Amino acid sequence: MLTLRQIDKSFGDKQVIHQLNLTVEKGELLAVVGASGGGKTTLLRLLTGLEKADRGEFLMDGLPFYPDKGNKKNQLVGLVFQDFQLFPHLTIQENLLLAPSLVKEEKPEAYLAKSEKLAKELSIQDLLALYPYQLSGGQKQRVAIARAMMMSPSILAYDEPTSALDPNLKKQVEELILTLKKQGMTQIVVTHDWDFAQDIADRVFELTDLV
Amino acid sequence: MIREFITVLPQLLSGMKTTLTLFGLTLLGSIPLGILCALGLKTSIKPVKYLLEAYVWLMRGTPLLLQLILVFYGLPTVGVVFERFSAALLAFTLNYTAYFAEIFRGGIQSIPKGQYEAAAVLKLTPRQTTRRIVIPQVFKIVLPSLGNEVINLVKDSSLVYILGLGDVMRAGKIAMEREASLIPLVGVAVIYLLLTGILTLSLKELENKFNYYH
Ligand SMILES: Nc1ncnc2c1ncn2[C@@H]1O[C@H](COP(=O)(O)OP(=O)(O)OP(=O)(O)O)[C@@H](O)[C@H]1O
Ligand SMILES: [Mg+2]
Repeated sequence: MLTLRQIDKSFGDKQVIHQLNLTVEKGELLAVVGASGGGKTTLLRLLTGLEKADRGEFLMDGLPFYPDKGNKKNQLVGLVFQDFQLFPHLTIQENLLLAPSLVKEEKPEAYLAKSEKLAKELSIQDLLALYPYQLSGGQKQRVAIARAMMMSPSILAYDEPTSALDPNLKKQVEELILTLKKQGMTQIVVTHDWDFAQDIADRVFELTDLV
Repeated sequence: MIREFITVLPQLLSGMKTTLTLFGLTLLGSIPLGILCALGLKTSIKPVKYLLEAYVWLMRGTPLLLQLILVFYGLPTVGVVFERFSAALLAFTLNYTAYFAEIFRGGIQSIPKGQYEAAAVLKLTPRQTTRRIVIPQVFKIVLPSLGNEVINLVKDSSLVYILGLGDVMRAGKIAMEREASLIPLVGVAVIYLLLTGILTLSLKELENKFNYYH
Protein backbone atom coordinates (compact mmCIF):
# COMPACT_ATOMS: atom_id res chain seq x y z
CA MET A 1 0.00 0.00 0.00
CA LEU A 2 1.31 3.40 -1.03
CA THR A 3 0.44 6.43 1.05
CA LEU A 4 1.16 10.07 0.30
CA ARG A 5 0.73 12.48 3.20
CA GLN A 6 0.46 16.23 2.89
CA ILE A 7 2.66 16.49 -0.16
CA ASP A 8 3.52 20.00 -1.36
CA LYS A 9 5.37 20.91 -4.52
CA SER A 10 6.00 24.33 -6.02
CA PHE A 11 8.01 25.56 -8.96
CA GLY A 12 9.15 29.04 -8.06
CA ASP A 13 6.10 30.68 -6.59
CA LYS A 14 3.71 28.46 -8.52
CA GLN A 15 2.29 25.80 -6.24
CA VAL A 16 1.49 22.74 -8.33
CA ILE A 17 0.63 20.23 -5.63
CA HIS A 18 -0.86 21.35 -2.35
CA GLN A 19 -1.33 19.15 0.71
CA LEU A 20 -1.95 16.08 -1.36
CA ASN A 21 -3.16 12.99 0.47
CA LEU A 22 -3.49 9.81 -1.51
CA THR A 23 -3.58 6.09 -0.85
CA VAL A 24 -3.14 3.35 -3.41
CA GLU A 25 -3.97 -0.18 -2.30
CA LYS A 26 -1.91 -3.15 -3.32
CA GLY A 27 -3.15 -4.46 -6.66
CA GLU A 28 -5.27 -1.38 -7.24
CA LEU A 29 -5.55 0.32 -10.60
CA LEU A 30 -5.78 4.03 -9.97
CA ALA A 31 -6.45 6.55 -12.71
CA VAL A 32 -5.31 10.12 -12.11
CA VAL A 33 -7.13 12.73 -14.16
CA GLY A 34 -7.19 16.50 -14.18
CA ALA A 35 -6.84 19.59 -16.29
CA SER A 36 -3.70 20.25 -18.28
CA GLY A 37 -1.13 21.80 -15.98
CA GLY A 38 -2.90 20.27 -12.99
CA GLY A 39 0.23 18.52 -11.78
CA LYS A 40 -0.36 14.96 -12.99
CA THR A 41 3.07 14.54 -14.51
CA THR A 42 4.58 16.29 -11.50
CA LEU A 43 2.94 13.73 -9.20
CA LEU A 44 4.56 10.87 -11.15
CA ARG A 45 7.89 12.68 -11.13
CA LEU A 46 7.67 13.04 -7.36
CA LEU A 47 6.87 9.35 -6.98
CA THR A 48 9.85 8.33 -9.10
CA GLY A 49 12.27 10.80 -7.54
CA LEU A 50 12.73 12.96 -10.63
CA GLU A 51 11.45 15.88 -8.53
CA LYS A 52 11.83 16.40 -4.81
CA ALA A 53 8.75 17.22 -2.74
CA ASP A 54 8.92 20.43 -0.70
CA ARG A 55 7.03 18.85 2.20
CA GLY A 56 5.19 15.67 3.07
CA GLU A 57 5.75 11.97 3.45
CA PHE A 58 5.78 8.92 1.21
CA LEU A 59 5.00 5.58 2.86
CA MET A 60 5.12 2.08 1.42
CA ASP A 61 3.22 -0.41 3.57
CA GLY A 62 3.47 2.05 6.42
CA LEU A 63 7.22 2.57 6.14
CA PRO A 64 8.60 5.91 4.96
CA PHE A 65 10.59 6.00 1.74
CA TYR A 66 12.39 8.73 -0.15
CA PRO A 67 11.88 8.45 -3.89
CA ASP A 68 14.69 10.89 -4.67
CA LYS A 69 17.22 8.86 -2.70
CA GLY A 70 18.21 5.86 -4.77
CA ASN A 71 17.20 2.54 -3.32
CA LYS A 72 18.92 0.12 -5.60
CA LYS A 73 17.48 -3.22 -4.77
CA ASN A 74 13.80 -2.58 -4.40
CA GLN A 75 12.69 -0.14 -6.98
CA LEU A 76 9.40 1.16 -5.66
CA VAL A 77 7.81 3.00 -8.54
CA GLY A 78 8.53 2.24 -12.18
CA LEU A 79 7.57 4.76 -14.84
CA VAL A 80 6.44 4.47 -18.44
CA PHE A 81 7.21 7.85 -19.97
CA GLN A 82 4.75 9.57 -22.24
CA ASP A 83 7.32 9.53 -25.05
CA PHE A 84 8.75 6.15 -23.87
CA GLN A 85 12.39 7.30 -23.81
CA LEU A 86 13.77 4.02 -24.99
CA PHE A 87 17.53 4.05 -25.46
CA PRO A 88 17.92 4.45 -29.25
CA HIS A 89 21.43 3.02 -29.50
CA LEU A 90 20.48 -0.26 -27.82
CA THR A 91 18.46 -3.16 -29.16
CA ILE A 92 15.15 -3.94 -27.50
CA GLN A 93 16.80 -6.79 -25.64
CA GLU A 94 19.58 -4.49 -24.46
CA ASN A 95 17.00 -1.91 -23.42
CA LEU A 96 15.41 -4.54 -21.20
CA LEU A 97 18.64 -5.94 -19.76
CA LEU A 98 20.79 -2.84 -19.26
CA ALA A 99 19.39 -1.63 -15.94
CA PRO A 100 19.00 -5.02 -14.25
CA SER A 101 22.51 -6.02 -15.31
CA LEU A 102 23.99 -2.83 -13.86
CA VAL A 103 21.81 -2.31 -10.84
CA LYS A 104 20.33 -5.57 -9.64
CA GLU A 105 22.37 -8.03 -7.72
CA GLU A 106 20.91 -11.03 -9.49
CA LYS A 107 22.47 -13.67 -11.66
CA PRO A 108 22.35 -12.88 -15.39
CA GLU A 109 20.28 -16.04 -15.94
CA ALA A 110 17.65 -14.71 -13.57
CA TYR A 111 16.98 -11.49 -15.45
CA LEU A 112 17.45 -13.14 -18.82
CA ALA A 113 14.66 -15.56 -17.94
CA LYS A 114 12.60 -12.68 -16.70
CA SER A 115 13.08 -10.70 -19.91
CA GLU A 116 12.01 -13.69 -21.97
CA LYS A 117 8.90 -14.18 -19.88
CA LEU A 118 7.97 -10.50 -20.09
CA ALA A 119 8.69 -10.33 -23.81
CA LYS A 120 6.28 -13.19 -24.38
CA GLU A 121 3.58 -11.69 -22.20
CA LEU A 122 3.85 -8.34 -23.93
CA SER A 123 4.18 -9.90 -27.42
CA ILE A 124 7.50 -8.29 -28.14
CA GLN A 125 9.48 -11.52 -28.33
CA ASP A 126 10.04 -11.10 -32.07
CA LEU A 127 11.35 -7.56 -31.69
CA LEU A 128 14.24 -8.23 -29.32
CA ALA A 129 16.98 -7.85 -31.93
CA LEU A 130 15.55 -4.65 -33.41
CA TYR A 131 16.30 -1.04 -32.49
CA PRO A 132 13.67 1.33 -31.14
CA TYR A 133 13.44 3.33 -34.38
CA GLN A 134 12.22 0.21 -36.14
CA LEU A 135 9.17 -0.13 -33.86
CA SER A 136 5.67 1.31 -34.07
CA GLY A 137 4.30 3.49 -31.28
CA GLY A 138 2.35 0.63 -29.75
CA GLN A 139 5.37 -1.66 -29.85
CA LYS A 140 7.58 0.99 -28.28
CA GLN A 141 5.11 1.38 -25.47
CA ARG A 142 5.07 -2.34 -24.75
CA VAL A 143 8.87 -2.29 -24.67
CA ALA A 144 8.76 0.68 -22.29
CA ILE A 145 6.41 -1.28 -20.03
CA ALA A 146 8.63 -4.34 -20.18
CA ARG A 147 11.71 -2.26 -19.43
CA ALA A 148 10.06 -0.79 -16.34
CA MET A 149 8.80 -4.22 -15.24
CA MET A 150 12.32 -5.66 -15.49
CA MET A 151 13.17 -3.74 -12.33
CA SER A 152 10.34 -5.45 -10.42
CA PRO A 153 8.74 -2.23 -9.19
CA SER A 154 6.11 -2.37 -6.48
CA ILE A 155 4.05 0.08 -8.48
CA LEU A 156 4.01 0.80 -12.19
CA ALA A 157 3.03 4.32 -13.26
CA TYR A 158 2.13 5.53 -16.76
CA ASP A 159 2.09 9.08 -18.04
CA GLU A 160 -0.65 9.47 -20.67
CA PRO A 161 -0.24 5.96 -22.06
CA THR A 162 -2.78 6.49 -24.80
CA SER A 163 -1.81 9.95 -25.99
CA ALA A 164 0.70 8.79 -28.59
CA LEU A 165 -1.47 5.96 -29.91
CA ASP A 166 -4.28 5.77 -32.42
CA PRO A 167 -7.68 4.59 -31.16
CA ASN A 168 -7.44 0.89 -32.00
CA LEU A 169 -4.15 0.69 -30.13
CA LYS A 170 -5.81 2.29 -27.15
CA LYS A 171 -7.85 -0.84 -26.71
CA GLN A 172 -4.66 -2.91 -26.71
CA VAL A 173 -3.05 -0.83 -23.97
CA GLU A 174 -6.22 -1.06 -21.99
CA GLU A 175 -6.13 -4.84 -22.20
CA LEU A 176 -2.48 -4.90 -21.32
CA ILE A 177 -2.98 -2.79 -18.21
CA LEU A 178 -5.87 -5.02 -17.18
CA THR A 179 -3.75 -8.12 -17.72
CA LEU A 180 -1.07 -6.71 -15.45
CA LYS A 181 -3.75 -5.91 -12.92
CA LYS A 182 -4.89 -9.53 -12.96
CA GLN A 183 -1.33 -10.51 -12.14
CA GLY A 184 -1.58 -8.34 -9.05
CA MET A 185 0.39 -5.33 -10.27
CA THR A 186 -0.38 -2.04 -8.56
CA GLN A 187 -0.73 0.62 -11.25
CA ILE A 188 -1.19 4.38 -11.48
CA VAL A 189 -2.36 5.67 -14.83
CA VAL A 190 -2.23 9.39 -15.53
CA THR A 191 -4.59 10.41 -18.31
CA HIS A 192 -6.70 13.30 -19.49
CA ASP A 193 -9.09 10.81 -21.05
CA TRP A 194 -12.04 10.42 -18.67
CA ASP A 195 -13.62 7.59 -20.68
CA PHE A 196 -10.40 5.65 -20.66
CA ALA A 197 -10.03 6.25 -16.93
CA GLN A 198 -13.54 5.10 -16.15
CA ASP A 199 -13.23 2.07 -18.45
CA ILE A 200 -10.23 0.58 -16.75
CA ALA A 201 -9.71 2.01 -13.29
CA ASP A 202 -10.82 0.73 -9.89
CA ARG A 203 -10.87 4.33 -8.82
CA VAL A 204 -10.46 7.71 -10.48
CA PHE A 205 -8.61 10.42 -8.62
CA GLU A 206 -8.92 14.00 -9.80
CA LEU A 207 -6.02 16.38 -9.33
CA THR A 208 -7.55 19.81 -9.26
CA ASP A 209 -5.89 22.85 -10.72
CA LEU A 210 -4.83 25.18 -7.94
CA VAL A 211 -4.82 28.41 -9.94
CA MET B 1 60.59 13.56 -63.43
CA ILE B 2 59.51 10.07 -62.45
CA ARG B 3 63.12 9.31 -61.54
CA GLU B 4 63.37 12.41 -59.41
CA PHE B 5 60.21 11.35 -57.73
CA ILE B 6 61.55 7.91 -56.98
CA THR B 7 64.79 9.24 -55.49
CA VAL B 8 63.00 11.45 -52.94
CA LEU B 9 60.35 8.88 -52.10
CA PRO B 10 62.34 7.06 -49.36
CA GLN B 11 62.98 10.37 -47.58
CA LEU B 12 59.35 11.34 -47.80
CA LEU B 13 58.28 7.96 -46.50
CA SER B 14 60.61 8.19 -43.52
CA GLY B 15 59.13 11.64 -42.86
CA MET B 16 55.73 10.03 -42.99
CA LYS B 17 56.69 7.88 -40.00
CA THR B 18 57.13 10.99 -37.86
CA THR B 19 53.92 12.50 -39.20
CA LEU B 20 51.89 9.36 -38.53
CA THR B 21 53.36 8.80 -35.07
CA LEU B 22 52.53 12.36 -34.07
CA PHE B 23 49.07 12.00 -35.59
CA GLY B 24 48.30 8.69 -33.86
CA LEU B 25 49.63 9.63 -30.44
CA THR B 26 47.87 13.01 -30.51
CA LEU B 27 44.53 11.34 -31.25
CA LEU B 28 45.13 8.67 -28.65
CA GLY B 29 45.66 11.34 -26.01
CA SER B 30 43.33 14.10 -27.02
CA ILE B 31 40.12 12.16 -27.67
CA PRO B 32 39.81 10.66 -24.16
CA LEU B 33 41.09 13.91 -22.64
CA GLY B 34 38.59 15.83 -24.74
CA ILE B 35 35.74 13.69 -23.40
CA LEU B 36 36.92 14.22 -19.81
CA CYS B 37 37.23 17.94 -20.43
CA ALA B 38 33.74 18.05 -21.95
CA LEU B 39 32.34 16.36 -18.85
CA GLY B 40 34.30 18.84 -16.73
CA LEU B 41 32.84 21.75 -18.68
CA LYS B 42 29.40 20.56 -17.55
CA THR B 43 30.26 20.08 -13.90
CA SER B 44 28.57 22.11 -11.19
CA ILE B 45 31.94 22.63 -9.48
CA LYS B 46 32.48 26.22 -10.58
CA PRO B 47 36.28 26.55 -10.27
CA VAL B 48 36.83 23.43 -12.39
CA LYS B 49 34.40 24.68 -14.99
CA TYR B 50 35.97 28.15 -15.23
CA LEU B 51 39.48 26.74 -15.38
CA LEU B 52 38.53 24.45 -18.25
CA GLU B 53 36.71 27.24 -20.05
CA ALA B 54 39.82 29.42 -19.79
CA TYR B 55 41.95 26.54 -21.09
CA VAL B 56 39.70 25.95 -24.09
CA TRP B 57 39.64 29.65 -24.86
CA LEU B 58 43.43 29.90 -24.66
CA MET B 59 44.01 26.89 -26.89
CA ARG B 60 41.45 27.77 -29.51
CA GLY B 61 42.15 31.47 -29.36
CA THR B 62 45.85 31.33 -30.27
CA PRO B 63 47.60 29.78 -33.28
CA LEU B 64 48.88 26.25 -32.88
CA LEU B 65 52.16 27.43 -34.39
CA LEU B 66 52.59 29.89 -31.53
CA GLN B 67 51.80 27.16 -29.00
CA LEU B 68 54.41 24.89 -30.57
CA ILE B 69 57.07 27.58 -30.36
CA LEU B 70 56.15 28.46 -26.78
CA VAL B 71 56.32 24.85 -25.63
CA PHE B 72 59.64 24.13 -27.32
CA TYR B 73 61.48 27.47 -27.02
CA GLY B 74 59.48 29.22 -24.29
CA LEU B 75 59.17 26.59 -21.57
CA PRO B 76 62.96 26.03 -21.32
CA THR B 77 63.32 29.66 -20.16
CA VAL B 78 61.39 28.64 -17.03
CA GLY B 79 63.38 25.45 -16.71
CA VAL B 80 61.00 22.99 -18.42
CA VAL B 81 62.79 21.32 -21.31
CA PHE B 82 61.26 18.86 -23.77
CA GLU B 83 62.98 17.20 -26.64
CA ARG B 84 61.56 18.05 -30.03
CA PHE B 85 59.07 15.27 -30.53
CA SER B 86 57.72 15.42 -26.95
CA ALA B 87 57.30 19.18 -27.25
CA ALA B 88 55.36 18.76 -30.47
CA LEU B 89 53.22 15.96 -29.01
CA LEU B 90 52.47 18.03 -25.91
CA ALA B 91 51.47 21.12 -27.88
CA PHE B 92 49.32 19.12 -30.29
CA THR B 93 47.61 17.15 -27.52
CA LEU B 94 46.84 20.29 -25.51
CA ASN B 95 45.51 22.04 -28.60
CA TYR B 96 43.41 19.18 -29.95
CA THR B 97 42.03 18.30 -26.52
CA ALA B 98 40.48 21.77 -26.43
CA TYR B 99 38.86 21.37 -29.85
CA PHE B 100 37.60 17.88 -29.05
CA ALA B 101 36.28 19.08 -25.68
CA GLU B 102 34.12 21.68 -27.43
CA ILE B 103 32.86 19.12 -29.92
CA PHE B 104 31.97 16.60 -27.21
CA ARG B 105 30.39 19.29 -25.04
CA GLY B 106 28.06 20.16 -27.89
CA GLY B 107 27.28 16.49 -28.39
CA ILE B 108 26.51 15.91 -24.73
CA GLN B 109 24.23 18.93 -24.73
CA SER B 110 22.17 17.49 -27.56
CA ILE B 111 21.20 14.33 -25.64
CA PRO B 112 17.57 14.83 -24.56
CA LYS B 113 16.87 15.30 -20.86
CA GLY B 114 14.44 12.39 -21.06
CA GLN B 115 17.30 9.97 -21.63
CA TYR B 116 18.87 10.98 -18.32
CA GLU B 117 15.50 10.72 -16.60
CA ALA B 118 14.76 7.28 -18.03
CA ALA B 119 18.16 6.15 -16.75
CA ALA B 120 17.54 7.73 -13.34
CA VAL B 121 14.17 6.00 -12.93
CA LEU B 122 15.89 2.72 -13.79
CA LYS B 123 18.31 3.50 -10.95
CA LEU B 124 21.42 3.87 -13.05
CA THR B 125 24.06 5.95 -11.31
CA PRO B 126 25.21 9.19 -13.01
CA ARG B 127 28.42 7.43 -13.92
CA GLN B 128 26.63 4.47 -15.51
CA THR B 129 24.35 6.88 -17.33
CA THR B 130 27.31 8.78 -18.77
CA ARG B 131 29.13 5.65 -19.82
CA ARG B 132 26.28 3.53 -21.13
CA ILE B 133 23.67 6.01 -22.34
CA VAL B 134 25.28 9.38 -23.04
CA ILE B 135 28.76 8.76 -24.47
CA PRO B 136 27.70 6.09 -27.00
CA GLN B 137 25.02 8.39 -28.38
CA VAL B 138 27.36 11.38 -28.36
CA PHE B 139 29.86 9.56 -30.59
CA LYS B 140 27.35 9.20 -33.37
CA ILE B 141 26.36 12.86 -33.13
CA VAL B 142 29.89 14.26 -33.10
CA LEU B 143 31.43 11.91 -35.64
CA PRO B 144 31.23 14.34 -38.61
CA SER B 145 32.85 17.23 -36.70
CA LEU B 146 35.33 14.86 -35.12
CA GLY B 147 36.26 13.70 -38.62
CA ASN B 148 36.93 17.25 -39.76
CA GLU B 149 39.34 17.81 -36.90
CA VAL B 150 41.08 14.52 -37.52
CA ILE B 151 41.75 15.55 -41.12
CA ASN B 152 42.92 18.97 -39.96
CA LEU B 153 45.31 17.22 -37.62
CA VAL B 154 47.03 15.44 -40.51
CA LYS B 155 47.68 18.75 -42.20
CA ASP B 156 48.48 20.65 -38.99
CA SER B 157 51.16 18.09 -38.21
CA SER B 158 53.26 19.74 -40.93
CA LEU B 159 53.77 22.67 -38.53
CA VAL B 160 56.34 20.64 -36.59
CA TYR B 161 58.89 21.23 -39.31
CA ILE B 162 59.69 24.56 -37.66
CA LEU B 163 60.95 22.61 -34.63
CA GLY B 164 63.30 20.78 -36.97
CA LEU B 165 61.38 17.50 -36.73
CA GLY B 166 61.81 15.34 -39.79
CA ASP B 167 58.21 14.98 -40.90
CA VAL B 168 56.95 14.67 -44.49
CA MET B 169 56.94 18.43 -44.95
CA ARG B 170 60.49 18.91 -43.79
CA ALA B 171 61.73 15.95 -45.81
CA GLY B 172 60.09 17.51 -48.85
CA LYS B 173 61.56 20.93 -48.20
CA ILE B 174 65.10 19.57 -47.79
CA ALA B 175 64.81 17.53 -50.95
CA MET B 176 63.46 20.55 -52.78
CA GLU B 177 66.46 22.63 -51.79
CA ARG B 178 68.94 19.90 -52.59
CA GLU B 179 67.50 19.05 -55.98
CA ALA B 180 66.59 22.67 -56.75
CA SER B 181 63.25 21.37 -57.95
CA LEU B 182 59.61 21.57 -56.94
CA ILE B 183 58.97 17.91 -57.69
CA PRO B 184 59.57 16.80 -54.06
CA LEU B 185 56.79 19.15 -52.97
CA VAL B 186 54.46 17.50 -55.43
CA GLY B 187 55.40 14.26 -53.69
CA VAL B 188 54.55 15.88 -50.37
CA ALA B 189 51.14 16.90 -51.68
CA VAL B 190 50.49 13.40 -52.99
CA ILE B 191 51.32 11.90 -49.59
CA TYR B 192 49.01 14.28 -47.73
CA LEU B 193 46.25 13.65 -50.27
CA LEU B 194 46.66 9.91 -49.84
CA LEU B 195 46.56 10.18 -46.06
CA THR B 196 43.52 12.44 -45.96
CA GLY B 197 41.85 10.36 -48.66
CA ILE B 198 42.26 7.17 -46.66
CA LEU B 199 40.99 8.95 -43.54
CA THR B 200 37.98 10.37 -45.36
CA LEU B 201 37.01 6.89 -46.53
CA SER B 202 37.54 5.34 -43.10
CA LEU B 203 35.48 8.04 -41.47
CA LYS B 204 32.66 7.45 -43.97
CA GLU B 205 32.83 3.78 -43.14
CA LEU B 206 32.69 4.57 -39.42
CA GLU B 207 29.70 6.86 -39.94
CA ASN B 208 27.95 4.05 -41.77
CA LYS B 209 28.69 1.75 -38.86
CA PHE B 210 26.97 4.20 -36.55
CA ASN B 211 23.94 4.32 -38.84
CA TYR B 212 22.61 1.14 -37.26
CA TYR B 213 20.17 3.34 -35.38
CA HIS B 214 18.55 6.75 -35.81
N1 LIG C 1 10.44 21.82 -13.95
C1 LIG C 1 9.45 22.73 -13.89
N2 LIG C 1 9.73 24.03 -13.71
C2 LIG C 1 8.76 24.95 -13.63
N3 LIG C 1 7.46 24.67 -13.75
C3 LIG C 1 7.09 23.40 -13.93
C4 LIG C 1 8.07 22.35 -14.02
N4 LIG C 1 7.43 21.18 -14.22
C5 LIG C 1 6.11 21.48 -14.25
N5 LIG C 1 5.91 22.80 -14.08
C6 LIG C 1 4.61 23.47 -14.03
O1 LIG C 1 3.81 22.77 -13.14
C7 LIG C 1 2.47 22.71 -13.61
C8 LIG C 1 2.00 21.29 -13.64
O2 LIG C 1 2.69 20.62 -14.65
P1 LIG C 1 2.44 19.09 -15.00
O3 LIG C 1 3.33 18.75 -16.14
O4 LIG C 1 2.56 18.29 -13.77
O5 LIG C 1 0.91 19.11 -15.46
P2 LIG C 1 0.05 17.95 -16.11
O6 LIG C 1 -1.13 17.75 -15.22
O7 LIG C 1 0.88 16.75 -16.36
O8 LIG C 1 -0.39 18.61 -17.47
P3 LIG C 1 -0.68 17.93 -18.89
O9 LIG C 1 -2.03 17.31 -18.83
O10 LIG C 1 -0.63 19.06 -19.84
O11 LIG C 1 0.41 16.95 -19.12
C9 LIG C 1 2.44 23.40 -14.95
O12 LIG C 1 1.98 24.71 -14.76
C10 LIG C 1 3.90 23.41 -15.36
O13 LIG C 1 4.16 24.56 -16.13
MG1 LIG D 1 1.60 15.77 -18.08
